Amino acid sequence: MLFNSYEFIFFFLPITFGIYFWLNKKRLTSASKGWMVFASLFFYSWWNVIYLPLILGSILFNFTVGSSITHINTTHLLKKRLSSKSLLTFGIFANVLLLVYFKYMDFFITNANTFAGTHFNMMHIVLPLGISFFTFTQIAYLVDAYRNEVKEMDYLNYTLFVTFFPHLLAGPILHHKEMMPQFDDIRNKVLNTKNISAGMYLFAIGLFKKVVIADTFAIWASYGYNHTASISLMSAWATSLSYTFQLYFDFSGYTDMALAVALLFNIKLPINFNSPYKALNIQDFWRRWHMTLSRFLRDYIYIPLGGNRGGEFRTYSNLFTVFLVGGLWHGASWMFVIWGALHGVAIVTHRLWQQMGLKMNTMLAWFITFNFINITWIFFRAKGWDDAVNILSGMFGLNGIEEVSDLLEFGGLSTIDLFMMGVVFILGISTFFTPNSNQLVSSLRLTNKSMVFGLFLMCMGVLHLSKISTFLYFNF
Amino acid sequence: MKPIPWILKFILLSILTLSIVGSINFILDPLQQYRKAHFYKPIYDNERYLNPGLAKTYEYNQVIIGSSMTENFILSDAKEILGFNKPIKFCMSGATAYEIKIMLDSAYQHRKIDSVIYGVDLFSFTGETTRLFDGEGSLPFYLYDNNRLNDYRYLLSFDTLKFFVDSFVLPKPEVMFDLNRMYQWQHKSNEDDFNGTDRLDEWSEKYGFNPDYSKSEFTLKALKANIDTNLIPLIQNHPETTFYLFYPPYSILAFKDMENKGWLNTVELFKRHLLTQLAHYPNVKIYDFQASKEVTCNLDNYKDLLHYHQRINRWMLEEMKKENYLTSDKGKFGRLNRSLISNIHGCGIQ
Repeated sequence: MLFNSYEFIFFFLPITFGIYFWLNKKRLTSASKGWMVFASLFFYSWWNVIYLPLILGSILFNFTVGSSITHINTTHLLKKRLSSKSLLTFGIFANVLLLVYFKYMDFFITNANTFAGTHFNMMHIVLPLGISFFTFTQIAYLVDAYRNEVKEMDYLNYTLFVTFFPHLLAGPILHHKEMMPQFDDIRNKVLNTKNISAGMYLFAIGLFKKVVIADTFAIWASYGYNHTASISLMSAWATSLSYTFQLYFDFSGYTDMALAVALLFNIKLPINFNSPYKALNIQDFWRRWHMTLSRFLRDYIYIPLGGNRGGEFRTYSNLFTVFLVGGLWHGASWMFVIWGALHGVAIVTHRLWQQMGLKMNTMLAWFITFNFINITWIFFRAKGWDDAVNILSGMFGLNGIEEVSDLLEFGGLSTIDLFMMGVVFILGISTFFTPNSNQLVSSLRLTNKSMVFGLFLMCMGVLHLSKISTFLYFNF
Repeated sequence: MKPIPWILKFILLSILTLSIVGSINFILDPLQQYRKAHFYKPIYDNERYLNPGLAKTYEYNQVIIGSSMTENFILSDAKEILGFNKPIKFCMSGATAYEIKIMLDSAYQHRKIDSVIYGVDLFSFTGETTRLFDGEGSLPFYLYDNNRLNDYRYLLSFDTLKFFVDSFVLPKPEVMFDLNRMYQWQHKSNEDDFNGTDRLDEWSEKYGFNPDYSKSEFTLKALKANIDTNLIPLIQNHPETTFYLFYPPYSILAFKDMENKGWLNTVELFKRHLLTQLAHYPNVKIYDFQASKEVTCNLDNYKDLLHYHQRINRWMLEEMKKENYLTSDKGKFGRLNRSLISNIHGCGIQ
């Protein structure tokens, strides 16, 4: 189920919320946890129940491994640490294997067929929902258990931590230690009207960002990426910028909704976006974009690789590796690897620049950073190398410059759509100057003005859940 | 303000606002899902959304359906030539065989249909048997069923409101409001666009006639599967309806292109399969206009390598009446197919 759906907003959320707090009010705290797990699994299985056993199996496996590690760590002497380490290795290996099987198998097969001349058949495995997220969350848990940072011996609690529906499908990627104390805190089991109002407000912002802003940019972005052949200057820029904004509003809007929904249940999830396009350098960008993934990669890949403790060269190679892995985590394609590599190179360059003690004008720094991000998103989005190169050549004027009227006809939008596109484009640009949703919520004052603003965003959001799809195919 | 009144106001006013918009959409009903438009002149646009509405709210006994190859039929021509009394068009730009089946199944739920003119566009039969032209979510299934409860997607939609404003407030060509010419695209082109010299240029530039279709999709297996799943059941289930199936006459250059791509044999086997499967149904007539030299070899009939002038739509109706291109048996089928092949090299176009 998606947050941006009628089913979620009008049925699933009110029912889950109502029963959860009713059970808590009756002091049936285990039942309320059980209800939350049930609701989350229902949420997960909404489209396709086929992967329910998979996620349950993964949870049971990781719980068993994690609690065994904890058990060994707490009850045995130091010499037994070895077996907890091998258990951890086995656990991580199994998780990675699961991810590789479901996410990367066809990618490996294609590459083997291409480079080694083999003739394996593609397996056409359908990617189980959220597998990248729940696998990473659980790898983090295993490592934390090994480091004695968590001790979870209760299966229900553990299942709740992994499946809690607000973060299940699209993150943020959580740590056990930042979640479970909140679930166990008795004060969080009663309705908190302050959290509810903030949650509703944040949900409205997130919904609007996702379905009104991102989905409008998506029209132009997908039209452009589907018609890259000889794309001219302005259309190419419109296409790449549309995708850059689409991706931000889509992902951060969705995360806003996740944070908002969790807040209704008095759970504070970590923020995941902090105005990334305001970043002044690439390192700054990665501290603001998909922050929980960056945190994961830092804590569980970069630092275990040795971080910056192995000398300059080792540091650079570690940074680069982290970005390659980060790239591939996004999907099984060379384009993601290229994208990761470009960011890896940028991070290394930035570090070198810093080491040399050089400074840069703020505006110029922002300009370079934003354009670098915008250009690298092309590799992230394009279906293949050729499409990416086409868009880039268009942006650098190699395919000529079109009339403004041609640009307006690009994508075959109706007059009203063009108007909406204009409005949304202004909203997109405004992200550079206005506070982001986290700031809006933390400065929320419960006035009529904020209520009307939230109401407007909410209603516009709901009214954009179902679209009359316009056919961008005018050559009939 | 205290949180509780703020929350309550937020929720109640949201519900109120959404109910108001829903009611406005219900009253305006720009896609005619609940009633025939009466206080405004309806526009015939956005086929996949409007068709299921018209199927419920309009009167009709005959249906013309298919892709853009059928969009230019004029209803009064069908009345005049084939004696139809209440025809309607449920065409869809880029229609897939699956979409056509969904639409006809929906229409049969509401009205008795004595005749169906069905444009068997080869490209409608490519791909998966549940292929939608514009991908997942591009056909509003909730309008095609009889369940009014799921119509909230139509009513609680800003796009419905936008469609109303866009169609009725902003200027549009008069022909888009004409039921007789519903969904036609003829007026979008100039007469000069139908021009043999341009077609030859297009051809010589080696501009593949439909770059959207890769060779792998044009497989006999997929074509046959689409016939078996999306066409034959319609004919089996409705013996009361006469089906006029026709192969639209693409320009001869399109067939040259198919020959270059190695598809011609697949086309023949596709047609043969259709004939063998349907030969024993008395309620089917299959017309192969692709064999017609007078149409396909005259490139002035075309605005691109596939799409013909509206006069060809009228010509096809006349030929359906005369039954010259009827492929009723294997002998007739072979003759028509041979003339298609010989035209590819015999038109005098190199």
